[in-house]
Amino acid sequence: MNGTGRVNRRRFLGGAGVAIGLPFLPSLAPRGAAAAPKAPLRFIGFFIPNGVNHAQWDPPTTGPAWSSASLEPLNPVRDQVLVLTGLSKASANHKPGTGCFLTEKIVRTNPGPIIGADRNDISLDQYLAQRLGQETVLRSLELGAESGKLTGQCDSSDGLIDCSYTSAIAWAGPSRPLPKITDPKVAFDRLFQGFDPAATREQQTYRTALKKSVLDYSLDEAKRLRARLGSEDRPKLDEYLGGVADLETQILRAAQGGANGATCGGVTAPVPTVNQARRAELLVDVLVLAMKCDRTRFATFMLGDAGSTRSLSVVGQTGSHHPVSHHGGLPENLQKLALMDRWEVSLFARLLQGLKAVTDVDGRTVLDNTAAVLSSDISDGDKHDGVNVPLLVGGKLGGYLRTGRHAKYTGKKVGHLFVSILQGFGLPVTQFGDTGNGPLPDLVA
Amino acid sequence: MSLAVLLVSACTGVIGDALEGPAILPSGPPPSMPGPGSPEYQPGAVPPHRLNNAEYRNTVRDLLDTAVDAPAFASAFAVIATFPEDGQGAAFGFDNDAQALRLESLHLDMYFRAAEALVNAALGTPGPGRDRIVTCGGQDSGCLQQILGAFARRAWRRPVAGDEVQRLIVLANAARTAGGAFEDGLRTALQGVLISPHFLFRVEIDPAGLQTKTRTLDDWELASRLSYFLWSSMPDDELYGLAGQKQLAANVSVQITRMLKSPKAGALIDNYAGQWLALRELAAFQPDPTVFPRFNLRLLDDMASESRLLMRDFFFDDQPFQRILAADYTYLNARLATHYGVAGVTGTNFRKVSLDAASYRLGLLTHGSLLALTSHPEQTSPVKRGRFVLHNLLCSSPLPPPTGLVIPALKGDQPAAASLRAQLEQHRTNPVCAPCHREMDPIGLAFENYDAVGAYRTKYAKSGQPVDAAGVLPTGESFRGAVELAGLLARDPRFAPCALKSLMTYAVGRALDTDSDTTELARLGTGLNGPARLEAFVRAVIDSHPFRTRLVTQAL
Repeated sequence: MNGTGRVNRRRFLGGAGVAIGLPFLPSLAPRGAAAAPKAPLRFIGFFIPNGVNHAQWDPPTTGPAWSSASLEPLNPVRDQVLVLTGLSKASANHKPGTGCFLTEKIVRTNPGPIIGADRNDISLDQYLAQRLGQETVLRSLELGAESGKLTGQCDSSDGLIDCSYTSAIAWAGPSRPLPKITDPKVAFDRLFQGFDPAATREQQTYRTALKKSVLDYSLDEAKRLRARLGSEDRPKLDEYLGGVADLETQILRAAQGGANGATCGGVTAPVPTVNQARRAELLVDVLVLAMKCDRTRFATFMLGDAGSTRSLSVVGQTGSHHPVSHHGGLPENLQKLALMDRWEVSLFARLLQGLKAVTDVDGRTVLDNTAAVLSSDISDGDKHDGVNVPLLVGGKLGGYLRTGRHAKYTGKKVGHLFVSILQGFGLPVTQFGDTGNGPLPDLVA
Repeated sequence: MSLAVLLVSACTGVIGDALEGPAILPSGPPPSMPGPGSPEYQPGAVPPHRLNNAEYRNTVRDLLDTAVDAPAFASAFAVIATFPEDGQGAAFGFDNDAQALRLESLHLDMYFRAAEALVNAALGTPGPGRDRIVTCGGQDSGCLQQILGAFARRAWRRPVAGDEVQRLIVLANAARTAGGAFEDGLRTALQGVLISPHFLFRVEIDPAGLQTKTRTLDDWELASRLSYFLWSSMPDDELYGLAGQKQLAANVSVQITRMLKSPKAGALIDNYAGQWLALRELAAFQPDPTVFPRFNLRLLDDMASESRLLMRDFFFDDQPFQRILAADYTYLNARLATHYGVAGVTGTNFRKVSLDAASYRLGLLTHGSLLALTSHPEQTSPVKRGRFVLHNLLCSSPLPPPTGLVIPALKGDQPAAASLRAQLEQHRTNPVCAPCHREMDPIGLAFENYDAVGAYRTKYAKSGQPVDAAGVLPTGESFRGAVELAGLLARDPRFAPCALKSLMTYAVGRALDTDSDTTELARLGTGLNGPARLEAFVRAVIDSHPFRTRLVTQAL
């Protein structure tokens, strides 16, 4: 695990000199260390589609007394929230703005197919997961409340564009958008399959051994097959080999109970539902569970896909989200948008409250050790622009972020925030994406 | 339909508007045909093709005879139903494009869970399903070898080498060493077969040391290409039998006839037509309940059934395929007939209903299904409807708007009323918009007599203004509404070549983008430029070079 040492020996950060020690992992903990265990840090990307109605979103005042109609659901966790205004995205418009959501890559309006070309870039969650995700059952978890397709041409006013840009915010590489789970039960099973508290140790060992032997067999077959294929055909087998290796790691870690079962307690699988709003809530709950049980530390959630046409009936209104977001300045549309924004914020608040309710291994709450970033593909539905995007950060990232306030910026980019977050994770990063050429000032505790 | 009209149209050529892809109707002598033997021949590459979700579902259905004991397999199919959504190919958006069928660890996770559930269901209860797999009673390695060899051959769609079976036996023995019984070993090895790359991918392996640039597929590979094209599933015993005797290539014609008669050929409607004509998207259509309070999911199902039934006629019966756009009958039940305003249909079962002048409908494009899925949730979209016809049916969709184009908001209030036509007029006066919209908009506006859920109307509900659906195409042909436009579209010489191109793209699972592909499409198009049954299109595709040959990729 090259680089882990550097990562784990977190540096003194900020004037307060918060020493961040080793993450909680018994095997790596210094022998005889008596200090309270250090809790792991988590990142969650939370995507809302179609921008917002800024008139009811942006708080009129900066500082700790912020308030606005759309952000009102955050009041119970307001000391843990950082409202950021004035930041710009690398790319605007629905599809580039979604594709670059966590990459801050400048994506052309019509980027064409993703296959075989370096189009986007690695997303923040995956950047973290690939460096810090080795200790949990899953390196990362990708969830979404709407089911979109990866690859292929998606038509829209943006022109022909690869569908991946509309339906994926987690990118494991420039041409590797990750599929997301849209069914809460499937997400639950992915986190907890094979975890059977009722099984004896022998039963567990036997089951794990069976799974491992099937995976070893598959790996061997795939390697043999790969050797017989031409170089153009091999990338498909490489995808397979990578997937089997990941699954093997996952099964072995799950058998060990995960890195941190201490905060988990009993878990129950969600009951399937066709109700859209309820399903979104259940997905948020699974997200909380994933963090609570330390099954993963890096996750993304798309409440809608790019330019979502979700019916406004979820907030008791007529019309659908995208057409109404082209509000034309009409008060009726703007009011509907504000209701949608508030609904979306209430789900974000549900996530933050869920994380706040869990005591972490260091005695603080899981939310204290998390950075959850909410933003959108565009800023305003009429303008389709990326200037002053809605941006919320929930959680203190282990005390690194100075939350409980509204901060207003000019001339800064979302990429700057991402650099700050990476530094909060202890990574020596000064550049991220096309826009993050340094940290965001005045952010750190 | 008049044959003369079609031929005349074909001779005039329609290249001007076909901005996407080549026009494939030749106006002169047939072009030269560099075939697989020619040095210029260059088909596109087809990498290992992961079974897409529909193919996976059908393949395990046929491999394990799951219909024999459906309840036992219910939980396995519940897992399969939650596989991650497949990608879509760049051409036509088919989800069987080998290049777009990517694989991440989430897929493997789901395949692993499905394999466990499938094998448990298959072996769990005594009966014909189990007997088909467990063909011997002993617990010796000879029996194991027999079971695993036969199962792997069917699952992997090719003969299986001795060392491959041996490795499966090793896997079975590993389970027994870990403390399991014979049955546990068997179960583990069968799971291995189902998550092996040889099962999850359709792989065409080029023989080592081959010196040619392309090669003709062998009979096993041909069997899979045929069955996944026509059935979205694995080959059956008859195809395997012919492949084993090296007799398949010589008997393809008879097999096509047989395969199209099988109920499994319904996959062509579900998966090919369902995607070419976007009907699979219908399930996700959610009309605004406040605007359409009486619309419900049963009506949505009815609409899908209507289109499926009509397509069945034109896919498998003796009718020229082009006429599907101007079919003078449809299938209705009482619910859908009421929705359409057609009198005299009772009951929930669908029946054939003739369409006359009083029905205000003609052909597939006036089905509620297509009218709904080309609409916004609360109102129609002439732009979406026009684009659908041009892009999906005529393969002449306009180029995308230029990069960086800022599309100005159309002036006027919300386009909920008769001002729609006036709003769209702004497209024609704007030189940036006009090239694309001068054909798209009149086609879309022709369907304004049908609202966003496909109900007939003569005036707009909100404004009370009368609907004006008349228009003129860039060719100068005019129409008074959708019924007349349907007749024009059925005769449009772009339709048959577009159907052919989409069908061949689906059949080979890749974009047809090489010069050789273009030449081949032109050659086949020449034979199909009169009224033709869909079966003729299918046969042309199966006899084509892209279907029968592959680009050799050598191991380095």
